[in-house]
Amino acid sequence: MYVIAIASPAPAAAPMRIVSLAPSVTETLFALGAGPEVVGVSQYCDYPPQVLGLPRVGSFLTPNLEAIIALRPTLIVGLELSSDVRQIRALNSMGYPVLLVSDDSLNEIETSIEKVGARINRQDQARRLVAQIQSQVAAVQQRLAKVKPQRTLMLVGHQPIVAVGTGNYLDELMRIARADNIAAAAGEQWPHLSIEFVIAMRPEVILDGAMGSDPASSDFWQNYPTIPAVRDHRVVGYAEDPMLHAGPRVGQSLEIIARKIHPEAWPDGAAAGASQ
Amino acid sequence: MTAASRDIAAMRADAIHAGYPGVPVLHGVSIEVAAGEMLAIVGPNGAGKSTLLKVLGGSIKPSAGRVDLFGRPLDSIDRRELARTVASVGQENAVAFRFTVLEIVLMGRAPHLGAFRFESPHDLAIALAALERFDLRDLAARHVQELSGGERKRVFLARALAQEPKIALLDEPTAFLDLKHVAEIFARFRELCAERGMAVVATLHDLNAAALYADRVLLIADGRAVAYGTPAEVLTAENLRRVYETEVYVGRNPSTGALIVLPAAIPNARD
Amino acid sequence: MNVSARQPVAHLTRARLLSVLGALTLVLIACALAGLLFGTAHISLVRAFADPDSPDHAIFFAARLPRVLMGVIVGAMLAAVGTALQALVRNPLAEGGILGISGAGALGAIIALVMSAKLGGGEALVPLCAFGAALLSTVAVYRLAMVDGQLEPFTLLLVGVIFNAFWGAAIMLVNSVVNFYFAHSILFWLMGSLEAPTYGEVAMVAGLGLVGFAVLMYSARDLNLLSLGDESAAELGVDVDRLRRIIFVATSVMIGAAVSVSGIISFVGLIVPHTLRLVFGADHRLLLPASLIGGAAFMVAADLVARVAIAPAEIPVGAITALCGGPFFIYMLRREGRRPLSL
Repeated sequence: MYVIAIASPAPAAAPMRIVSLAPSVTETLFALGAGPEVVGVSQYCDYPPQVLGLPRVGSFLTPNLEAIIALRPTLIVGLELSSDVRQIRALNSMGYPVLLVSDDSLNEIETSIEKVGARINRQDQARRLVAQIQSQVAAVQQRLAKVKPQRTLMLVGHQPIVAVGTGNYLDELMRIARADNIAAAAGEQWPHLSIEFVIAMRPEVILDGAMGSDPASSDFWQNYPTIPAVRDHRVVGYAEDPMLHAGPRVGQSLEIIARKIHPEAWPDGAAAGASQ
Repeated sequence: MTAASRDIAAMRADAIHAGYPGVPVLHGVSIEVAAGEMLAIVGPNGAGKSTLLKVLGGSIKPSAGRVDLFGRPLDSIDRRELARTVASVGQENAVAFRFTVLEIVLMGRAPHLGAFRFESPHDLAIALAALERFDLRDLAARHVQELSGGERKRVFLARALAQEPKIALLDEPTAFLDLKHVAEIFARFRELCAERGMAVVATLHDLNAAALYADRVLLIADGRAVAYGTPAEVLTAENLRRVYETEVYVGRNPSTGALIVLPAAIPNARD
Repeated sequence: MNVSARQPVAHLTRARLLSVLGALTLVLIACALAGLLFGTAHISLVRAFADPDSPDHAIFFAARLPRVLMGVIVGAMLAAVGTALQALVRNPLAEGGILGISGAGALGAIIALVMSAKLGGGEALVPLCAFGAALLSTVAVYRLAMVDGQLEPFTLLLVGVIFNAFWGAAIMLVNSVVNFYFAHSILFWLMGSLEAPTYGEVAMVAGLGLVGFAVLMYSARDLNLLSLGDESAAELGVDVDRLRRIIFVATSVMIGAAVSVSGIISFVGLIVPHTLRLVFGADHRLLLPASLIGGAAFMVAADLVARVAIAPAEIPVGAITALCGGPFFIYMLRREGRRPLSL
């Protein structure tokens, strides 16, 4: 058996070389000011714009071992759900420091930011970032204090209909945004729903990730006019918005969701106060 | 042949009942072959000729009766020893892959070789001699699948010869062969009977060939032995009419003096 | 033996065996070297060996070497199994993937993985379940394809295709009930991949492969005789039933082991034996070891393409072999259509 010993840097002494395996991790690293120390990102990372020039190392489910090793990383950060992935195990057994974080709920997202912050010696920045997220959340909650909860369906694809279910952070955001997630009954993170189920559950709002914000691309729903959301023209697209990255912009995502579901809570069309 | 070797038949089958699942074919057939003898089994289609041959070769177990090989019960003999003693050539001669003629004939040496041994020069010599005997020398490097039916039949006969068997069981050995090769095959086997004391049991459609070449003939019909003896004794007009349900003429070939069998009446649909 | 330039060589000699295997070994070495030299990252072999702290060393020993070794072993096994199965059923179109055997092995492995994830531990069961499932499937395909004691080539293929579809459907069923990210692993099983094997896995597969191959080689002459038909083989002294059982078990173990570490990789066991048979003849005493070496070379080459074609993303290696295999298979079917039972 071999063990490759990579010298672990003393914290804050030598410059770090960090490889990120997930977009949320990348955003977190940059938000904590560690952007210059990021040497490699996953193929799906696209924010902030600086990452577009960085080397790609695969994704958190299919990390490319050679590409990662070639970057001589001092820290690799990925997601908890790839803990079983062979390459992660290989990296572990080779002695590379690997940090895995999870982001299935708002709490976990905040904890992840703190964990990463602690690991790269930027605890203060992490605390500030978390506080910022919490205040964004609180601001939205305040606006929604008197609204009536809406039966809502949030989905990422049409064929099959893949919906936001329970156990992931988008579901939690929906709850905070006073939306009754009709897909919660399926009991899975990303349930495949039949159109019958959707019709039967009569959602009042549909957040459709397969649509852009251009309502003309909503042909799919025209076939089902009995759905309240369709009848009342409350099918909203969100594909161009940053909602599927569970990182520092989660507060912004919450506001986007809340605005689409309860537009009446922002009567003055005030600029989204939570965005940075 | 000494009196002693004549007492122990090369192969003897007593009261054989055999067949396939649900289909009994042979009902109490007995047969005996001596070393150096050629025995022809003749009879109508479906009489059980091939089945009998398979029982003699050990690939079908009889439901009743026994088969003895040089006095020993057939089922007591180890598979490989049996293969060194008895060689069978069936009617179908399919080969699944692109083997050359020489490779097929060399396969006849397999019962004599261990798992990893290559064929020795001795084995090669035997195979080449077998090729020679069946006029296949020029085809040695050709692939079997490219050959005609008759040529392929000769390859399989050569393979049987390469086994150096004491007994050869041949199922319709002259099917697909033209007149020249039919005569040659029988001539070769007769030589082998004489030179090596090989016993040959062949099923034949061709009654005239049986009459000409066989020492003894067994006539069977409906799974039962009808007559057994020399060709003259067995191939009588009476026997043949009964078995083939048609009139035959039995006479002598004017040029060779051999027994010949010819149909006597032309069947007329309107009669 | 006087052999003209156009005539095939008449029979197998020790000399020919050694020269053919020697030539193929050179090809394998070339492919293995290419696999070690090239990859997503550019490394220097000199540095890899000289400087144990360099990323070159890490990449070479942790990423490339085990992967190339695994490719060699899995490719060798799949090709050898293909050769043996073709001999066993007297049909050049048979191989583990097409007959549904690797599909069954993959299903067994997946079920074992799901169970061990739910019940905890027992990952050593995965190769075992793969082997068991492969064996059951082999026996079932064979039994169903027997018609009146004869193995009909097209019946066999049909049964194999049906079983393949069935196992694929079962895998999809499991796919739809497990969580989204586990489903990704299942894709790995379906398309085959040599990603990040550990040296432990390499050793396990090598061990099983060696034993299995030894069994196959021991039966090499009997496999030749089997080409003449069950009856003729028996008449030449082969215990056909026993041979069948032995080959079934050996091939199932080998396929089970391969599938449990690399998923379903099809067509290796079809392309390699067929090509070698056309060039070197059908004698299994040569064909089996030749397939072993040729399959190893083929797999390493295919994996190299899989790794570098769209780097840093990877194509599953099963996709590469299928891309080669699809057209090859069609070509073979057309040949078979004209001359049944020929090869």
